[in-house]
Amino acid sequence: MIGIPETRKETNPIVEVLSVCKSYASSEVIRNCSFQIREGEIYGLLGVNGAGKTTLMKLILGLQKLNSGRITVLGQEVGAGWEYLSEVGSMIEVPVFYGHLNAEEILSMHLTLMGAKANIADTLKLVGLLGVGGKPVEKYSLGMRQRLGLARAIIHAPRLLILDEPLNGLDPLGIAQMRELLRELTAKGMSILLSSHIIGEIRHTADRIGILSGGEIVKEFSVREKAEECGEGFEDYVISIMGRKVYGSV
Amino acid sequence: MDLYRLEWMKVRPSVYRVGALGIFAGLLAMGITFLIIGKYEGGEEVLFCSWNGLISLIMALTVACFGVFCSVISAKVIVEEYCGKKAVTLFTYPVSRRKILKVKCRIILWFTVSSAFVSNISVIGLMYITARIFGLMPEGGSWYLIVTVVGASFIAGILSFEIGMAAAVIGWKKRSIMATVLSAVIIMCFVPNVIARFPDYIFATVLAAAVVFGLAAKAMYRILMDGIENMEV
Ligand SMILES: Nc1ncnc2c1ncn2[C@@H]1O[C@H](COP(=O)(O)OP(=O)(O)OP(=O)(O)O)[C@@H](O)[C@H]1O
Ligand SMILES: [Mg+2]
Repeated sequence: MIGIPETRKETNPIVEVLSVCKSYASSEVIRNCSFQIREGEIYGLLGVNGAGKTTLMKLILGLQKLNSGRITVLGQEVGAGWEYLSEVGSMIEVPVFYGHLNAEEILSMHLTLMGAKANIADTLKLVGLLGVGGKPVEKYSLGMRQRLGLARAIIHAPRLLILDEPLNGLDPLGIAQMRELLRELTAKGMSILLSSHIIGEIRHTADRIGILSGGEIVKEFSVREKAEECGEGFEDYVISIMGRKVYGSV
Repeated sequence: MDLYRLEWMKVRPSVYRVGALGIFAGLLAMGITFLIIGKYEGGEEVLFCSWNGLISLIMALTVACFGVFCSVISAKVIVEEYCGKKAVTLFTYPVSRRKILKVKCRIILWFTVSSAFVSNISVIGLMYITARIFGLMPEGGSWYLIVTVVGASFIAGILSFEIGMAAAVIGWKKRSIMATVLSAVIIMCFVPNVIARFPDYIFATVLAAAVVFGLAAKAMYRILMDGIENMEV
């Protein structure tokens, strides 16, 4: 089952992003961006469409190369080897699968590649997919795919979980279950980087929020403290910061 | 071993088995037709009237069909996987990208060579039996011919793989499945012609083509390997 051994706990940040820059062709998407993710926290990355949330996650996973700066994940520098990936689970944008395979085959394939062992039925139950049986994934609904994507991201008990817009396609019950599941995972020591542009959602899920705008983290705060401070005006406050560098003053 | 099993799981092997069987059936039908044409319309058509001619013709068709067949598998296993969204998941595993690509190529190699080899041997074997039963060919075969057919069939399988791989690299560069298959078809417009042109030197011709394409495919494979190693998704 999913669980992080106590001995693994450490005080260093799980992810450290330091003055990172990334350009595509001529446009600079990430500009001098820095932030940290601590052990056991849910870090919410908020930003408008095209702010660079997915790009930042891909940089952490080594799927894109940095132009400058440094990213360290679980003590290993990104770009200096793939080893850290065995302790990272991820779901970037819409999860894709080999359509003719069923959930069990997909998860067992994933475990082999991750070099891990886990109980597949338990994980399927955790994400609300128990009983899908041998149905090939190409016959899944959007929400079912999303759930399977999440199962794949967590089944090998990673220490860091990177979820890009994980609530896409989930029904209200699914969203509530997901929120609870993420809480359970962090309680076991998992650290989570979560992106969204739905403020209400991230407010109820994340411990800390970083707002990505103009390619950098322009504001970072604890959700609880800011919610206490702003009360009803929380959403307006976040929107004003999210759009500042993109659309001018909002 | 696990990686091979996993890569094999990703494709639908039954589709390719049916494809290979289809090619075999088509080649066999053509082979028998050639025998009949050789018997009743022969004389001028040198190729259809001797075993050497017939074998080189079947060999050329085998390379053409299985080369395109290999490019179709490569398009699925390499081009679609690395050019599409699946690469995002594939690259988040702590397994070297080179290692996975090597496994993919070996699977394609094995499948192409074995199916081309078995198909070619079977088609020629069945043609021989048919010719004997119905007295379609005046001359019999020799041990020398049998050894040539077995050796050349194997090399023809390798040649098909090389052509398929070269096409896959072009398709990967162009990020298109269509470009992969089209490249194989274009290459096939001239390679089989060369093979069928020297019926008296079947083995040497197939071997020479395999060496030339082997060198080209190897250089292209390097490009693919380096490209995938440094690919951003
Ligand atoms: N492969 C690429 N090549 C060129 N530009 C790209 C590429 N990927 C992303 N971009 C550009 O980088 C910017 C940031 O994209 P990104 O996908 O990171 O945004 P996002 O914050 O995830 O947006 P969304 O909320 O819509 O998912 C966009 O302007 C996008 O056009
Ligand atoms: Mg995105």
